[in-house]
Amino acid sequence: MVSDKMTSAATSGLRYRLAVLSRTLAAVAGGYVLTALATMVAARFLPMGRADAVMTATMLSFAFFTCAVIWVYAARSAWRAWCGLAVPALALALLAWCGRVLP
Amino acid sequence: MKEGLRQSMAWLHTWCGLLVCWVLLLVFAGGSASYFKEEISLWMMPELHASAAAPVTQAQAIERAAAYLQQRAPQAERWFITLPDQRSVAMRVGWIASPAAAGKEAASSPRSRFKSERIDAATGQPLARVRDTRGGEFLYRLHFDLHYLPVQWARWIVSVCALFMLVAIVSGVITHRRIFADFFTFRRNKGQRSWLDAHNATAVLALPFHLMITYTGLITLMFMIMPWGVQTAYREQGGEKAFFEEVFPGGAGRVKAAGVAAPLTSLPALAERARQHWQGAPLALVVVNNPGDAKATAVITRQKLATLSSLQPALVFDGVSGRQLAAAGEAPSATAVTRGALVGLHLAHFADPWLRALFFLCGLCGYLMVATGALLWAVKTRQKQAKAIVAGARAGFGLRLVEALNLGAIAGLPIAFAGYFWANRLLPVEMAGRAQMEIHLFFAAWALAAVLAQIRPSLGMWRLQLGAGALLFLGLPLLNVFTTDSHLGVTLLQGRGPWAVAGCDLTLLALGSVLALAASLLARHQRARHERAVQGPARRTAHPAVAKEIT
Amino acid sequence: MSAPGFLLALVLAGCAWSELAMAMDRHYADIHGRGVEPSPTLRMRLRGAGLLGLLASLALNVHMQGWSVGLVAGLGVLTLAALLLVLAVSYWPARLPAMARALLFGALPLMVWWVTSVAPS
Repeated sequence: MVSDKMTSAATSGLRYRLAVLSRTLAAVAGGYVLTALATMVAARFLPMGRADAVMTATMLSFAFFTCAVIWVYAARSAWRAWCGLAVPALALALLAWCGRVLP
Repeated sequence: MKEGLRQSMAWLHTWCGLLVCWVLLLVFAGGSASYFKEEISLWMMPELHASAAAPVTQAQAIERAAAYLQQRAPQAERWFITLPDQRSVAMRVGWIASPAAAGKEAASSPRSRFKSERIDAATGQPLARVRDTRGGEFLYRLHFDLHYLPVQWARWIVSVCALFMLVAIVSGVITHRRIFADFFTFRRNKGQRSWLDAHNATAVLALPFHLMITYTGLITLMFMIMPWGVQTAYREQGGEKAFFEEVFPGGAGRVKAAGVAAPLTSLPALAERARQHWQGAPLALVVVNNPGDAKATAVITRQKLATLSSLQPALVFDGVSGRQLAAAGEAPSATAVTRGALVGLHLAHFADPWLRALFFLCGLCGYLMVATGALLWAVKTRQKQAKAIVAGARAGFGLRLVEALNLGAIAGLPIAFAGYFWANRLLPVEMAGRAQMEIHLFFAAWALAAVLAQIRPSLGMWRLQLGAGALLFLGLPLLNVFTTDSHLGVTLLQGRGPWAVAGCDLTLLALGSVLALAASLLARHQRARHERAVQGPARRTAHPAVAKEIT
Repeated sequence: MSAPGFLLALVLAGCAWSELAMAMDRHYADIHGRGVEPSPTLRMRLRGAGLLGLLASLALNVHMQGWSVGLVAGLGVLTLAALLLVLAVSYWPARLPAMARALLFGALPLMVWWVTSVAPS
């Protein structure tokens, strides 16, 4: 399995830069999308009044986003970073769709 | 990426910080000043200093404001009356002119037809003789609306920077290996280590503040940054508008005009009833919709209390009969109270002047934290490139850019602020567009500093700009002696006040002294390095790049 | 925030932080010589006293301004005290015990001043 552990000799190489770009994309775009999905699901399913659920979900979203970004850069490889975002995102997207369809 | 959590977090911390540090410097500087924006505004309007001592009841103030508006803008669509509180002396009245009166099309936005004036609460007459200035309000708006940019763009830029800062804080804490053991460590005169210690001290010792201010700052803009919860939950009801109508009572009382004239009821009487309803709490704002029309309404909002929450309930009255129509925001849910408290923490409206001074101090720590972080990176990188530089190569592009930007921002911002205050004192009072010119001069002073920094980012330029900043700040209280009647000799030594003005002058002296101290420490440092370099090749210095740096 | 209350809280916090600093190896060594470490009992006592001082400072602020505003003000006072102490420790590392004692003795008249200023109300 290809791992992204870089030795210092390769740090300035193209592969390193691609890995950085990949993670940055994951953090910024992926993190935002994941956070948006989590906010949508929480706003729909939190057991409180609708306005309250919306406000709570939105207030917590920044902590969630920060955790997502930390995860992306702490993950051992760029692939793990993306998977760690994609799997929850798919699950949340499914929940969000359920939220739309259910009464 | 590097292996290990600490290293990857260190990498993340460095990049998050470096990409946005110069914007954050502006945000921290403007934000810290905002804690005293009313006091700064008063300082910038010397014509008001004498009457700052004569208090007027809110009922009298409303009566005079209403009379003035009746005479000045009887056909307006809405009236706004912002009442004076403990900190601000002048009363602001505003109105949205009808399209005909404003000479605009019927479909023009209300915002474009909004006019406002400052009037004296004691006489109900416009303060025409007071110099036109945006005062502290400009510094407040600066830290999230920036300037010369569309407001939405500016807020997005600041929000992104705040998110980067939040990540930087968390990654910084994770990567800080000996956060407890290093808690009180500040090793002076040790080059890179000193910068690191300074960065750690200003960051860790005020960590509760930094974490709070960043997160609550994001909270104030949360519906812009993360609208998806609102969109999803209120999709059937028409999206955001429905949500805001439900949660924020400000839009209450908006009804279409009937087109039938009817006399407006007594506003002071309504105000009195509102005050009794809120057990004597002072009022903040009176908004009159469709004044002089049969469908007029008056919305009276209570001042924020001295608790954390920034929520302000409002009462809606019928503008003709005076009957109470609705009460908004009276029983907020726990979540609304929480959000109110978080926003309140950011604004610190609940704070007395001493607590606000603590907030101001922590804000300055934030400024220093960002500054020392950026300087640490520059020093570290210069050291890494030291061998190459001594061999004759030029410093890398990134390093040169960061060094120049550091100088222009860290030393340039004080010059910009001082330029704004000097402009306030020196521009002619009757000048047209005076308020805007003060702002232009803020940016002109900053631009001058930044351009000089780009041309010659040397230690000598640092000394020059820090020294200039010091002189400008220290010179302001002195300038007051020649340009106003409320300089420190009067406000402090004779004890006639206003205290806010004296406090501003003292703070200017304090900040000027700090800048002067920085400049003199730098001079001493430069002399020591010069001596070491001059002692020549016989004595090898630890950092050979130093010789190249001294120009 | 009244002046005596604020000063008392600041002094208590300063004293507390200095005790916590003295319990650390680096600063203890700066006072007593390189390589010298505080004994476990001394460390525990210093840390305990430091923690008590911090809590006392916070409690004072909460008493003066209520829980929500008081905690905010209390944290601000802790920050200010810590900043001042870092500078003091940097310039006079060996004088830390003397500073802690001075602050402790200074707290007593401040306490009297505060109590008398609060009592009539």
